[in-house]
Amino acid sequence: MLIVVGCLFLGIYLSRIYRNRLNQLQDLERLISFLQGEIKYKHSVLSEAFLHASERCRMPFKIWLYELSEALQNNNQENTFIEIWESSMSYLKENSSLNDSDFGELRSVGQALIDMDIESQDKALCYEKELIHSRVNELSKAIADKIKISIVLSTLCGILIVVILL
Amino acid sequence: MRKSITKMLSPGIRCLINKFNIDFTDLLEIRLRINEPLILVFSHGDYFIHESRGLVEKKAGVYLVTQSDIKSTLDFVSDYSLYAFEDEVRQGFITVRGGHRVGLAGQVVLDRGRIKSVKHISFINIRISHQVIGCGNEVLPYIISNGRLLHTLIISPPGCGKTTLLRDVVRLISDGNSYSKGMNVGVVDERSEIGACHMGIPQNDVGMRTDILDCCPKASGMLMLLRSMNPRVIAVDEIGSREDIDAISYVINAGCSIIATVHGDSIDDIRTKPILRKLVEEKVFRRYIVLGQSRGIGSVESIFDERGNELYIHSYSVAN
Repeated sequence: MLIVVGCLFLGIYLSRIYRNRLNQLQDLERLISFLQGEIKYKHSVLSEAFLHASERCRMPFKIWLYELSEALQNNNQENTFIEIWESSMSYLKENSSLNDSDFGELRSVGQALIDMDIESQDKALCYEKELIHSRVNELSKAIADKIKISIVLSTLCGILIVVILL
Repeated sequence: MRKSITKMLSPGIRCLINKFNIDFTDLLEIRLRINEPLILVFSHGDYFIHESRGLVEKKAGVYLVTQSDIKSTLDFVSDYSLYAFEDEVRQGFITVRGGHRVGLAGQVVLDRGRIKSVKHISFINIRISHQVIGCGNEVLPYIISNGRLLHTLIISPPGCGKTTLLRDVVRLISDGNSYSKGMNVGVVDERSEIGACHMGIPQNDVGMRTDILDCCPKASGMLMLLRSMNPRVIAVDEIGSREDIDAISYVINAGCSIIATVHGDSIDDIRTKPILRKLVEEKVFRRYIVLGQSRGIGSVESIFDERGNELYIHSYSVAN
């Protein structure tokens, strides 16, 4: 019984990871909108834009953006922006449910932010936002099935383990 | 000041400057030109930096500026956000913390005949800001009467300290001095040299009752200040256009005092300029301060009244 319940909880845990990924991708989409506003209308420098965006985001982006803002302000002027951006992503890798392809998009967002021209920057960020939005749509359609599959499979695995042990 | 300047340089150049402990007291400019020697401009001359010998006057074996130096410097100057300074880049300079002005040159991008941006920036000129507190004390007795600032024009050739003097006079008028109580001063800082605002915060001390319109055209700026900030004095730098003169007339008619600067060697030199001649002939300005370099940058050569009578002859260096 315990084994079956344990496996069921494992299935629930896996389904949570899918749901978290979907939520975090939606948060990422919102984050890009915040940054666009900060940059396009307020002409904020990046450290300021990240700080303001962090106030409006949920975890883990809240802490990520705050630390990124601090890193830019306190940088000893040895690293480029991309180096700082890349190294900051290690926090998200440990504390989010985003996968490798999501981090690939995040890398592209970083590249878009160092464009010299606000108009080009805005277009690049719009493009990245659309890519993330299409990913969110795909995931939204598939998530219900994925959750069902993970719960059913994990329960079946539990039952199988019990049968084998017996 | 040293830290605010070296912080914006590329790691390679910063390392060299720190290695030889270069004195920033007399440093006027740091010039970066791609693939050319790094040049430090002091009040006593230009120098290159040799990687083992420090400051040298000869070009052989000196440090050459690389593309990476230019890129890093731009990143640090703009806090990795050059896009945020689009308007400033269009004007060719960015004012940074500390009031230093970073001039930029490269390939201009036009949009329907108007400058949209500058790309391939390969030339950077870091102009070091040196505020000289107290340099205005010398001229105050001549330009204040009955507690009011007389309309004053500071005449000076380029690089002789007129903006430095203007800044200090603004500070003294704003804070109050032994000749007048503190009063509201409005500054139209078109080239961000007087207050040197960075992210809206003046980097120079311009006094506690001073309001600054930063990066604003002079003519419209004067009218805006008059309408909204209730100044007793308006200060502008480098007047010269017809619009500037018209705005000055409007300001004076509104009962506000004006202090301005203009390029020139003397009052006679100003008379040769058609637009400014009218101001002299109509005795709009009550005081003329002429600066020179007889005793160093910012020497007050003479002060005249509106009739051309010399009120002050002897020169002291503003820099001293």
